[in-house]
Amino acid sequence: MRISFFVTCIADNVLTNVGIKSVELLEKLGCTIDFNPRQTCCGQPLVNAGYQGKAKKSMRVLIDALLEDACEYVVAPSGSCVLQVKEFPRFFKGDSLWEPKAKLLAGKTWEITDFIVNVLKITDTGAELHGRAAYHPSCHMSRLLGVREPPLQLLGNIKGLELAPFKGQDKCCGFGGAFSVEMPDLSGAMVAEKVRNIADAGVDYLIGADGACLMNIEGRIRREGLNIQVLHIVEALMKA
Amino acid sequence: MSIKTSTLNLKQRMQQSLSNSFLRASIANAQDWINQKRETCYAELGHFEQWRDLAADIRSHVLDNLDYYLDQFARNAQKAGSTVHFAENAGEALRIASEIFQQKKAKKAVKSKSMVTEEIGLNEALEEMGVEIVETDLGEYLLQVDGKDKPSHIVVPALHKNRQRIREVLAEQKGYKGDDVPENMTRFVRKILREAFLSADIGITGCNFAIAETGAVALMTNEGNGRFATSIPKTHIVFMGMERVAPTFEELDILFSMLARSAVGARASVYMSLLTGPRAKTDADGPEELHIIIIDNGRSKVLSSPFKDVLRCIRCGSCMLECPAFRHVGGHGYGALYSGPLGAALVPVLGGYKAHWDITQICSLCGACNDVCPVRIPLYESILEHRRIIAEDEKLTSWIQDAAFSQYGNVIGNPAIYTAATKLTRLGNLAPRVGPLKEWAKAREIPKIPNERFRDWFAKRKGTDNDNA
Amino acid sequence: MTTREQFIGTVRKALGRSELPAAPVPLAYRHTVHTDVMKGSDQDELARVFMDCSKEIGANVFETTKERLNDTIRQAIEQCRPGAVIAANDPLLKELGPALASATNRMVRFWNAGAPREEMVRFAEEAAVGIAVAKLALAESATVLFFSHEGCGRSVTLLPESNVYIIPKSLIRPRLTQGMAFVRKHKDHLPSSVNFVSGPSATSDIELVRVVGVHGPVRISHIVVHDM
Repeated sequence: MRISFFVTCIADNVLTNVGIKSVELLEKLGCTIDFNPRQTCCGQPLVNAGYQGKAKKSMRVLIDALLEDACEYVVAPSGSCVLQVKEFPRFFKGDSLWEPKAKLLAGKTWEITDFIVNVLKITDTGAELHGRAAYHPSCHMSRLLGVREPPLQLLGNIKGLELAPFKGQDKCCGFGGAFSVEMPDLSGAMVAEKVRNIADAGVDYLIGADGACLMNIEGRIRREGLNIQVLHIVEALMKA
Repeated sequence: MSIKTSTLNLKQRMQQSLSNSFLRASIANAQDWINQKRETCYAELGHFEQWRDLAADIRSHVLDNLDYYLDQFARNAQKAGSTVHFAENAGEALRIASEIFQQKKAKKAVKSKSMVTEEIGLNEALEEMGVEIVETDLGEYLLQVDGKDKPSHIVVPALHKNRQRIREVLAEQKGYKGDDVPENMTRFVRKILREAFLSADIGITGCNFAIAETGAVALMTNEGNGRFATSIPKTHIVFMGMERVAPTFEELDILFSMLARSAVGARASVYMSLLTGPRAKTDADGPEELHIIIIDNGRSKVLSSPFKDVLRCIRCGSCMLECPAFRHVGGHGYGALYSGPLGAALVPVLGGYKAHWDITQICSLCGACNDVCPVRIPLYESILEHRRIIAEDEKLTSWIQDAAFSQYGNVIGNPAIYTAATKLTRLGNLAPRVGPLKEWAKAREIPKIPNERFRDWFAKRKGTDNDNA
Repeated sequence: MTTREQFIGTVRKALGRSELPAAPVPLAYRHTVHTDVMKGSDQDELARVFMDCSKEIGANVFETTKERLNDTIRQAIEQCRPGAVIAANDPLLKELGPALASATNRMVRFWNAGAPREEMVRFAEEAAVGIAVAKLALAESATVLFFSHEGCGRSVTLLPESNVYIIPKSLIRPRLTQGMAFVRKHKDHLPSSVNFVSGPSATSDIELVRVVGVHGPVRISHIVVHDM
């Protein structure tokens, strides 16, 4: 199965291991990966700050880059970026050239855990990781994209891993894009509470499926000097 | 009061709220406790999503036909013996109210909580006329006695007050000699307010829903003050936001069933009162005159805007209780009478973008509010669209921010520039902590940029290079 | 001064219409979740749910029969502080009245719309107990429905420190859905005040600590009469 990989700007430039492990994981599960280097960013930082118009150029760039290889599936390791792509048709409503292209891309783009469980029909990747882990369900991915079960199914089958619930588990971590730097004290208060709750659960790992949230939470964990390793789910799923 | 409740700017309000640890702890407790109760009673009721469908359909249907239903309500209310008044704005509503007070030579009024009366600044206006107006919801009363403090939540307004403070205030202002046990303080207030109820000339309430089919006013209360205010004084004045209409009593079932659960996690409020006109000539109690003041004050503007759905709101407050931002800053942080996600969605249209655009900043776009709103208001989408209007149409964002985002848009809009620019990202590891980096670093460490981008790793592996993107 | 026509006109314009529409097609309900609640329950089950819920919300519960009703009312009243009783001017209570007064050794006065307003209100305010008969009762929320009328002022179920409600079992319905349907059926002759009462008055306004008994009655008793 050939898939077009949408790495996302965070995994391309900051959490590069997320991109790497995503590719290795998909290959392990039988996919061939196409990566079109003309892809840039889904534009959500702009859209969320209100600059919809300024984001249109990058949306067109992304649409073309991800459709170019005409793969059946486009897969990304980030629920928020996939959500954004699914919104593209709305931004190009009425545009006879770009709306159909946007719809085509939106229809074939998948968040990676959703893809693994519901397209590849795999829930056990053969991973092994011993310890206690807290799972943070990113807001855009779980509430707005509706992908709640697949990560839990995959994590549940990692040998040796105990998933620990924690207080305020499904509360926002406070990243919110530009919110984290425009409302730094409020955002800081939110991530501080999240990390306190994670720490109280006595875990070795904090696992999530969206790099933005993970950068935020990990930044706070390191600020507090806590001994909790932060992993993107693809990193956990590649542990052996 | 009006819609704007603070003279502080956004940064100052955030500072003030975030440094109030009692407030933050109270709100967190309130959220956790009430949310648990809410979840429990909806689990008991079952089919939450279907109940929401019904409630959303009803509110949407009413808004789509608001002209018809308001007209029907007004005619039927009048037929039932009520006097119906229409106020386009706050000033007109206050004028009508003061005329009634003057006509009745009324000196004292008891008031059961009403958001719309706070919106128009009723208390201040009446006090200027020399009228004594007593808030009778316990929380509102305590705020009034404590230097006319402002509510921090629409359902539990005195959440930010601890019992010690309340005892102090009651002792200083009202001669309370007891301890700070809530039950004892409540008994004390009961005695005081009893006298107020029995001696007031006018009772003032809001209106949860106006029933178009019969002209009845429906009120949902718990303490009994609403019933007092509408049974003992000889005149009753209802202040009503014009969108608070239900077609018949049958729709009221759905709306009240949701409101009690979403607001406080109860199956029903203690009192659900349906008031049709003043008392009959053969009744010994009840008001002799019932006035209903229907208020627009910007609602028709919202009705004709893309944000019409926000008018579905039934004032349950559950969006505020679910909101992770509200958790840390409370109602005061939003600087507006309507706070939390509702405030962020409504206030820019109701109160104007220029005065209130910053309210849309107090949101991480997590979408939790959408999931609990009993009438399915698209709160998330509304806030997002407000931000677009603020940045692109109203142009209220700073030029620095505009420039930064333009820059970002240009970089990601051009693959060649993006590929070249991101090669330099790792220099960020050495960058001084100014601007966004400084803000980020207030609460967290900055991630370390690796030497190699993903695309470099992929290209190497494949044996190609990225520069010819 | 804004007239109704002007005000409605503004709303109409906001909706993009040029004239007031004829009555809209009434909303069709997508689901029947509200009418499905306790659909198959018989009166005994409804009564059980009503009584369990009554206890949950802090009401005292008594069960009785018509024959023993007077005695049960006496029991309920004896639990209240000493003082007069104000009763709704209901045929059922009128029947019991004199016997009740002697059994409880309290003054029992009936709500009298013919008496001066201030006098009735003051009496109700000073009374220890108010008694009224339910028009309908709702199992799900232990709610009792009252119609105020010349025989039962609003004050009877509001002012006294305690309230005792007589609930014929046959009048218990599943939930508010049936309660509102009942009210709607009577819409053409509703009294000026209709109240659904669910338990004693309460608040959580001070530090979220629940306090029972604020302005309305502090203590509520529900007497379910099985053969009525």
